[in-house]
Amino acid sequence: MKSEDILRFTISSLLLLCFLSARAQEKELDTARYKDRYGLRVGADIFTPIYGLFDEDRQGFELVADYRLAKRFWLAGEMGYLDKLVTEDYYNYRSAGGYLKVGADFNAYQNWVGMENMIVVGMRYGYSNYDITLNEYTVNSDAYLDPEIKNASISYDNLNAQWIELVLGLKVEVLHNVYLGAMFSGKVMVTATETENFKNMFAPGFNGVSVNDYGFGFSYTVSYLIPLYRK
Amino acid sequence: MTIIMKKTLYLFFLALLVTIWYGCERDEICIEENTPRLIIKFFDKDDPSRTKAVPFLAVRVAGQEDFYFDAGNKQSPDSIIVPLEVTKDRTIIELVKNATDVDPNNNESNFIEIVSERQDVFVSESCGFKTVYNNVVFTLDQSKSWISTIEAANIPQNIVDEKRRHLKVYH
Repeated sequence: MKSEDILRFTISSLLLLCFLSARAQEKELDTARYKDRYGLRVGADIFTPIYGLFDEDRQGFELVADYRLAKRFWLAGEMGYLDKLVTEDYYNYRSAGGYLKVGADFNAYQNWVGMENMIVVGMRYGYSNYDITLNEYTVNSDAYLDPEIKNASISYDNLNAQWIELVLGLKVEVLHNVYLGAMFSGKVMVTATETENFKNMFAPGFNGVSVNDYGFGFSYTVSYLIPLYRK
Repeated sequence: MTIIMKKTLYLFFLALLVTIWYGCERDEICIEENTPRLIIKFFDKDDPSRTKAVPFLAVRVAGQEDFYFDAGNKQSPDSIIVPLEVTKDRTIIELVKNATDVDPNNNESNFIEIVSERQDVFVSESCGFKTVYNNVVFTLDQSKSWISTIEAANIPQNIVDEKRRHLKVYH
């Protein structure tokens, strides 16, 4: 993800945060003895599919789910698939595979009675299984001799990556049982399969691996709450 | 939630985002060494321990119009550097002495053939791949021009960096 994209999503999410606080003031207090709803919330990321319409080099999807365990804690997870063609100055490669993340969310937002919005602070363990294919490269050499593109087609199959991520986000109930979410994640790689004579620079679910093994992710989610009981 | 708590939360969010942003800074500038070039040092054939500069030297890879190095009317240094092919195992370089002399009869030319086992090595995200040359064999042409003998600096000779000379030329 490029810096401009990151900036764009930072701004839009801050706007969503303002929206959340504005709503908080509109709502009226319900009567006492209100019981919180518990249930399973399922949804999908809409960012990746929409982005994919404009950039054919990045295709994928992500399903999200959480289950309320306690007043302020949710069991949460995501699973998805991503296929990305990464083009650098001297080479290009494709990284494609599935990933799974599991963890917990904490709601840092003190809702008014009857409201079910969230400021999410969460942790995830992430796992990805993927293939990398180095398509072609040009040797970085003196410009005196004409550079030549070399077709490599070298595949590094069945690679694994494991990481820990910190999730920050917002979930707002926009319609009855329907939630919009904006989630950021900062990731730190724990282990990843080494690739011989190449570097593991993009893992689906983790996204670009920076020099110091950090990663960054973003998603916009639409989800639906299946209420199971009240407590 | 009080106003102060809200403001604190906003700040907390902003601080975290900025931290993540900087933490994800990509490796965008290539600062590592790329494909090493051949370093040739010139010695005196009569006193092999002494370096000896070549007058008005020009060097090019055979097949190229332009010279990679051309001393012009200045006295040449006693060592030069030449790029090698990255798509072929064999590179032929042409070394011309007195290249600027108006009388073409004084332009003396020698060819050196460099054969090696090439290997493309991944350097880094921003630099991509470089070529290194293993088991390099140098062969001087039979023209009996200005170069008397040549000698690899090491046995076996690998060209993996530009730290030390690779080829010694006696003239």
